[in-house]
Amino acid sequence: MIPISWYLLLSAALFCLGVVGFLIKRNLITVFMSIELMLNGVNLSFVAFAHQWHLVKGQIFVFFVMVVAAAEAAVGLAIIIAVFRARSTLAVDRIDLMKL
Amino acid sequence: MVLFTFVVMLLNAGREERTLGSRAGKIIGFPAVVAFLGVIATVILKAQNLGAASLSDPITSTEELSRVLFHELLLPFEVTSILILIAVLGAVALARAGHGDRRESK
Repeated sequence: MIPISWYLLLSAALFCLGVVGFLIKRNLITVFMSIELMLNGVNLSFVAFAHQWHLVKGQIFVFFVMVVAAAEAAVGLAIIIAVFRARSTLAVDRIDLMKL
Repeated sequence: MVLFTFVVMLLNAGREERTLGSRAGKIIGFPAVVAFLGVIATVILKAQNLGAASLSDPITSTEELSRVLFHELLLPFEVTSILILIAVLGAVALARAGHGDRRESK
């Protein structure tokens, strides 16, 4: 028997790692991966609660989160490629203007 | 993850440089995130009636999962497919737009 709070703590730790990466890293791809890490941290707590309470909908919600994350990754990486083509840099500090 | 790997390989960017933004993020962000984690941890550890999840419990079967997914949540499932379709179209359009611009400028 593993207390559910351990899963929640791991989930919170993953989420906070994502936030730290988001704040500290200045590479566009790394920032994007940090967002994915935050999403996965939340997913972990969803699955933990779904497993504890024997509710299937929690797990299905995780599927939906994954699908949305995949769609976001596809569009986001396309945007990253477009930005890199236009400016040939990935540093977020240099990408502070909307126009070219 | 494969997508990320491909993009990293494709762009071949160099080392990231430290900037003012990252320094401010370190100075302000680290304590804020640590405080946030501390608050969440205390809340989780203080909650007594959370219970435990044993791995020997009967794990949710695929049958049950699919019954809920394809009967009760059929509409969200289908809406998600439209979302993915739009995402694929957007990704392709974004990736191709750069090519077109470059060709025109040449």
